[in-house]
Amino acid sequence: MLKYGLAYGLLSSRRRAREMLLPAITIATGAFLVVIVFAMSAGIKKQAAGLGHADEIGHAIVLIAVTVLLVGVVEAAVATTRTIAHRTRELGVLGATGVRSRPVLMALLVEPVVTAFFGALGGAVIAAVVGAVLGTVGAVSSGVSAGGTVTGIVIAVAVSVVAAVITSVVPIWRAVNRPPIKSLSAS
Amino acid sequence: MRLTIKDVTASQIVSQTETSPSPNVVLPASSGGTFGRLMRFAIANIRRRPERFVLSVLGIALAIAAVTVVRTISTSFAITGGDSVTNAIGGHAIWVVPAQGVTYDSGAGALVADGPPSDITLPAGWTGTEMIAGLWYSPHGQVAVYGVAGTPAGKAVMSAQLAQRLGVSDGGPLSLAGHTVTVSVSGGSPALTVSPDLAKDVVKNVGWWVADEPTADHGRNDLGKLFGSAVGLPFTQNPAQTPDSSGKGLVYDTTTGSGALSFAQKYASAFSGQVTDSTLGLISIIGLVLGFVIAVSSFLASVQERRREFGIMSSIGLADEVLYFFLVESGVVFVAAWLIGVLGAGVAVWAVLPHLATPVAWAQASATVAAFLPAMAIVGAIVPVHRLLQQRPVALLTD
Amino acid sequence: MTVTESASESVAVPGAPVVKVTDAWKLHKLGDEIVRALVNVSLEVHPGEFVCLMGPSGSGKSTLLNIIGGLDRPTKGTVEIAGRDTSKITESQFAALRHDTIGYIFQSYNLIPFLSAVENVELPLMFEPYDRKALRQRAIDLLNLVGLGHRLDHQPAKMSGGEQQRTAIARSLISNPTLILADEPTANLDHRTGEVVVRTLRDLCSQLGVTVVASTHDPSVAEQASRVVRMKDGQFQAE
Repeated sequence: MLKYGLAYGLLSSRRRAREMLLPAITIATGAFLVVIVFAMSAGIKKQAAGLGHADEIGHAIVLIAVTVLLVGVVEAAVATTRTIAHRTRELGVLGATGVRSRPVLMALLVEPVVTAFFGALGGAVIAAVVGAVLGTVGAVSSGVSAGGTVTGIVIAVAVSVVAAVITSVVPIWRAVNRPPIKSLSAS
Repeated sequence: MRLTIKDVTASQIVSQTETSPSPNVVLPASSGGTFGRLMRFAIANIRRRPERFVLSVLGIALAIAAVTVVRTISTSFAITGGDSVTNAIGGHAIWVVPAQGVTYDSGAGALVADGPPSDITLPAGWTGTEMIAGLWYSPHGQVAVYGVAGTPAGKAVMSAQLAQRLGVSDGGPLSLAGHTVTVSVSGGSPALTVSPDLAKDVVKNVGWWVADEPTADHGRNDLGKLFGSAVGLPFTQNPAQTPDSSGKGLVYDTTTGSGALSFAQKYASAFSGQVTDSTLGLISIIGLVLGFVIAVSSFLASVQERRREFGIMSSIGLADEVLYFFLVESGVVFVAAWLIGVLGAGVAVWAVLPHLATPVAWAQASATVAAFLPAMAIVGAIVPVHRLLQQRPVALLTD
Repeated sequence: MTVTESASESVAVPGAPVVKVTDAWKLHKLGDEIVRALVNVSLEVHPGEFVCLMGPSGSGKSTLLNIIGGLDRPTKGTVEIAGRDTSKITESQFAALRHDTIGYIFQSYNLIPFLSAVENVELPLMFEPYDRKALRQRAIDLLNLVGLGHRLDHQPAKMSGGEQQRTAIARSLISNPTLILADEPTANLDHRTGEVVVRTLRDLCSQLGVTVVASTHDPSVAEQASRVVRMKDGQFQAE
C-alpha cells in the first residue's frame, strides 16, 4: 500500500509544482551559501597557512561553515513546516475517505523531499557555476576549489533533505493520528 | 454574561449566552497615537501565532548571524593586522623589507622578517635605522623580538600583557637566550624590544629598515620613488606587492593611502588575505541577499495565510492600514532577528576565536548589517502587500 | 468481538441496525467553557433508511454525524457500525472501517484541489491494489450516474458547487459502502441544485439499498427523508 502513497505523492508534486516554487527557492538560497563557502574555503586555508594565520583561519572557516549549514537547515525546516500546514485539509480528506496512516504519511512526505532535493540541488549547482565563473575571472584570488565545490554540493543537498524529512514527519504523523475532523476543520 | 464553568457534571453546565454592551457609550480614545496602535496590533498578532513569528525571526536571524560572523572575522583580521603593522614600523614614512619578505606570526602576534635587512646606506638628509625583527622561541611560546637602536643595552621593553605571558615583572630579570636583561613594562606592542646587538644575538640577523624623509621633502607624495631610486631598490605604494626573492628588497611608501584606509590597514588586509577579505566580503554579501530572500518569502507566505484577515480590513476601508501594519510587523521581525542574530554571532565568534576576535570588530560588523536593515524591512514588507492590495477584497475573502 | 485492521472480515451481526448509537455525549472546551455538543443521545438506523437529522446550527447534528463516521470520538457512550463497537478502535482501524463501510459527503465538498473529478472519485480506492483500468471505469460510471459525464477531467476549481458536491457523492460510492453520511450536503448550494443533490441521495437509497444519514437545516432535504429526527442543543426532540 505504501507504493500507492508514493504514487500519490509524485502525482501531487507534479500538480502542485507552482506551490513548491517558493519553498524551493528558500532552500536553494541556503544551499547556495553552503556551496560557496565550501568552494572557497580550501583556497583560503592554503593561502592563510602561508601567511601564518593557519590556526585562526581554520577555526574561522569551520565556524562559518557550521553557521551556514544551520541557515540551510532552518530554511528547509521553515519552508517545509509552512507547506505541511497548508496541506492539513488534504490530509484530513485522505483520512476521512479511509486511507490508512502509513500511506498518507508516505503520500505527504514525497513533496517536502522532492522540494528540498531539487531546491538544494538547484541552488548548489548555480553556486558551483558562479564560483567557477568568479574563479576564472579572477575575482576570488584565493581560488575556487573543485573538490570543495563537490563536497559543498553533497553536504548542502543532504542537509536540506534530512532537515525537510525530519520537520515534516513529525507534524504529518501527529495529524494522521488525530481524529480527521480536526484536520478537516483547520483553515 | 459569560459564565465560567469549573465542574463537569451535567447539571452544572450551562450554555453560553452573551449580552451585548450597552449602546450609546462614547468610546474613549486610546493613547499612543497611530504608531502605538499599530505596534499593539502587531504584538497581539504575534502572540496569537507565536510559532510563525519565531520561525520567521529565526530564519532571518541565522542569515544575519552568518553575515555578522563573516564580517566580524574579516574586520578582526584587518584590525589585528593593522595594529601589528603600526607596531612594527611605528609610523615611519619608508619601510624597506628584505628580499625574503616578512610574515605575521600568530603565536607571537607580530610581524617578523624572513631575511636580513637590505644592504643599503641612507641617502643624505634622510633619517632612519635598521631594525632587527625575528622570532624567539621562549619557554612560553613564540615571542617577536625587535632590535631598535636607542634601546639601552641590558633592557627589555615589553607590554604589560607580554610581561604577564612571560611571567616577569617590571624591573625584574628576564632570561633571554642566555642573556639576562631587566624588564621595563611600557607600551602596547606585542613584541619584545631590546638593543639591536642583543636582538641579533637572540634571533640572528633578520630585520628591515625604516626611514623618514628630510624636512625639506615633507609632504611629497613620491617619497618612495625618491628613496628607492636613491638606494637602488624597487619601490611601491601598494602593500599587496611582495618583494622579489632574488632581489635585494622592496621599498614601501607608507605615507600615501588612497581613501580612508591607511597603509597599515591595507597591508594588513593584504597579508591576512586580500583573499580572505574579498572572499569573506563576497560571502557576507551573499548572506545578506539570502536573509532578504528568506524575509520576503516569509512575508509572502504570511500574507497568503492571512488573506481573509486583510480582505476584511480592506473591505471596511482600512487598505492603507494594511500597508502600515505590514511595515510595522516587518520592522519588528527584522529588529528581533537582528538582535538575536548579532548576539548569537558575537557569542559564536568569541567562543571559537577568542584571541582574534575583538568587540570592536563585532560592533562594526553589527552596525554594517544594521545599516541594511531598514531597506530590507521596507522592501520586504512592500512586495507582499503590493501583491495583496492588487486583488479585490472579494477575492481575498473567498477561499 | 475482535477488531482488526482489515474491516473486510467484518463481524457484522446479521439483522443488526447499520448504526446504533447508545447514550452518547460529546463535550469540548471552548476557551474556558465546556460546550455540550451532544447530550445523552441514542439512535438506531436500519438498512435502507434515509434518516435526516434536522436542527439549527449548534444543535449537534454535525457532531452526531462525525462520531458515527469516526471523524470524531464521543466523550462518553458507544457507537456501533453494523454491529461492531467502535469505541476502542484506533484511528487507523476506523479509517479502514470507513473505507469499506462508510461513504462521507461534506458541506464544503472536501475534494482534493489538484485532482480531476475522476481522480477524486477514485481517491478512496487509489491506495488499494485494484486494477487501474477497472477502477477508472467504475469512477466514470459513478460520475455518469450523478450526471457529470462531461466533467471527468475537470479540477474542482473548474466546477460549480453543485457539480463538486455531486462529485463528492460519486466518491462516497466508489467502495460500495453500506452507509452514507452527509453533513449539510446542500448548505453551500442554491435551492434548485440542492434539490438535485438530495434527490440523487434519495435515489441511491432506494435503488442501491444504501443507508443514508444526513444532517441539515434545510426543510426540503427533510421532505425526501424516510425519517426525520429533530435536534436542539445536543438532544433529540419529540416530533
